Amino acid sequence: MLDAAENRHRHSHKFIWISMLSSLGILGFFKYFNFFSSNIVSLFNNLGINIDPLAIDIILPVGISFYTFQTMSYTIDIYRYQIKPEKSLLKFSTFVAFFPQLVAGPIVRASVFIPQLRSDRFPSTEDIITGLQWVIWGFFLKVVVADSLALVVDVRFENPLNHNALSLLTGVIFYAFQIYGDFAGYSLIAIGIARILGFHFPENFHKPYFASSITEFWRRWHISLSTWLRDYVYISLGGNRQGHFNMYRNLMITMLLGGLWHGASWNFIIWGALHGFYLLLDKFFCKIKDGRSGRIKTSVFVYPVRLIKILFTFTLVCIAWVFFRAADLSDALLILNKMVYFDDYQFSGVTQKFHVIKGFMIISFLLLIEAFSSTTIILSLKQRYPYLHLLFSAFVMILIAFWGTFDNSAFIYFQF
Amino acid sequence: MKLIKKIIFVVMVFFALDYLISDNLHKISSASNIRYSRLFYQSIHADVIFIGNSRAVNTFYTPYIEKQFSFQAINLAYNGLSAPLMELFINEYLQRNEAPDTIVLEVTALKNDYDVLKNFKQYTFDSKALMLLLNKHNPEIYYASRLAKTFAYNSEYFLRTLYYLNRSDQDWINRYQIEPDFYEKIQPSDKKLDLLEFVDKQSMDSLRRIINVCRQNNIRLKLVLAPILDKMRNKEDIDAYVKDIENRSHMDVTDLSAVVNEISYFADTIHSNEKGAENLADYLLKSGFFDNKESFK
Repeated sequence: MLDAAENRHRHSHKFIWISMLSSLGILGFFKYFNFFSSNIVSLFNNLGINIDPLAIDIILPVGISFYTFQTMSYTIDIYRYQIKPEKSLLKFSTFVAFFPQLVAGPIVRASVFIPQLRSDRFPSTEDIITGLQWVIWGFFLKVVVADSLALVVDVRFENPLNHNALSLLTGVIFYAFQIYGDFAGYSLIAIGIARILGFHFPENFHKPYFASSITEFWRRWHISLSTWLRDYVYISLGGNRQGHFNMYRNLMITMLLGGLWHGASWNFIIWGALHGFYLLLDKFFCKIKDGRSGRIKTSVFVYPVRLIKILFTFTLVCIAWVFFRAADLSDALLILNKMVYFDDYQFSGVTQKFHVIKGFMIISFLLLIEAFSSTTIILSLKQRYPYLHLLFSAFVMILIAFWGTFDNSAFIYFQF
Repeated sequence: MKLIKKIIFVVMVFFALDYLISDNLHKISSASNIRYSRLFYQSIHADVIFIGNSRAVNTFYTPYIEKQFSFQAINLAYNGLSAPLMELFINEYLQRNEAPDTIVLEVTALKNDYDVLKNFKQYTFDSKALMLLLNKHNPEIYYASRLAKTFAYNSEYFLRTLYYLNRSDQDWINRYQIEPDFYEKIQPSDKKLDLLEFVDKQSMDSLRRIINVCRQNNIRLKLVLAPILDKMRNKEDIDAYVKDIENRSHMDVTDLSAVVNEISYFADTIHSNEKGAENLADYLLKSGFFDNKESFK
């Protein structure tokens, strides 16, 4: 009996490796071959060994990073006996290629999606109305927030040399909200469409710029990826079970892989490394704080301190976004370098002033909605007046017509 | 049934809000002092009109010009304004106001481009010519602005309309200087300016019709090429461009591209700033630019 179980485990161990290698092999070939090839060639050239560069002219399949991770989670969950294998090819294919979230996520776990596929789905009125509201808010995030801010961001990152520090600062702040609007908008549209069809997916973003630490930021940003990396990389590496040094190492490896997941570029690797470093510091200072005792928290300072922490976290995130968005490393360093010259902060030198003002109006509106949407007053109003959220949706549709930017720009995360 | 009721409720609220908001936005648009609101809803008296694209916006600084020349002037230029739209605005001006003495038209990038048209969709409720042009060249934008009227006010231009609600827009000009580091890094190969593309037939037709309208109304028309940053100036290209327009329009083109030279006079490679525009106005005064009554060949 024991031998059979051991034998089965040994087989499954072998198959998990085959599955992982084939999934990662396909992803690596399409996404990372040219990057590693060119870096290896330049490394050898720097060592004085001349090698001809080998590059393959291939088109990256749309959404490959998302469905690769989704299928990997399926295999790992089966290996860990967390779910049972799906016997219906149709249901498995639907899980992998479900159209709303195929291209840019969210990465929905097999344990969440497959059980829903196994039962009949009949969307309720509540499902359809909620789904439509999410789709409308998702469109708002995309065409109003992301695409309007992109008009300012693109000009600054295209030619950072020709902008003063204040102009570049607006570009960086706007990019933080552009990428949030773009990605959270797509996620919400996907989750909303799934809801209209009767499927319930977990949220992918939860007011990330209200995070008061980097650890909290990663609990709110791209939740489906961050939890994936936590469960399948960080914990597989040992998590925080093998001492502090190993925990820091595991964190760094996880975040580096998270950066690399976004694309084959040093910019993404540095972005991942920076976040790894931030997390590392966060854990380190948390440990020191936990060690202190007898600190008295007065309620007067709770909100200002939290606000300072939120702003500090946002600043750190923005610094990392510079590397994520800049065309190359030299541009990223140039932008950061220019932004530290405080005498270069002149409003007269800010280009596209009207787009900048509109951008700040949009960001303020977004933050106000996010800040107050979960307050007890709003929640009780929602309960007392059930038509209030429908009025809000109509108002958001007006804002889309009045503030939206309709220039056929694709979603940023389509490239990943 | 409950679902349909809720959807109908949202749609009705949407259209009610759209009507209320767009009506108020139209009032704001009519009251604004921005150039085309003045053109469509108010009467203007100008001895000289300046028109062209962003280069004209930042080259002809009318508050300074009026002070130096003691005539009344209006700048009707706008970023990306193409020849057919210049023609439309000149015609609209002449329909509503007395003919000016002079029109100065900046000739860079006389392209047959209708992209900028979407900025002016707020005026399509009051200008048939603009409505027809938008319907012809951007039908999806035209129909969207009919479906949701607030969409007609969705533009950078409308933000400017708001900004100039209680102030003149004639002091709209770049007030910053090109970044010295950027200037240093400009390479000779950058000299090929897209702005000096040879004009297409349709824009040339528009220009010819502008010339005819000016002739009929006894308006002196002056074609000019605005200043270009020295490092971006390719004399051969500029001469060929000027010559091409002169040959096709049978008009003289005053080449001002090399008149302003210092880096501090430019906001970027092709746009002057306030200082540069004032310097150019001083040059025009000294050279007697407005004294020459001849304009047609």
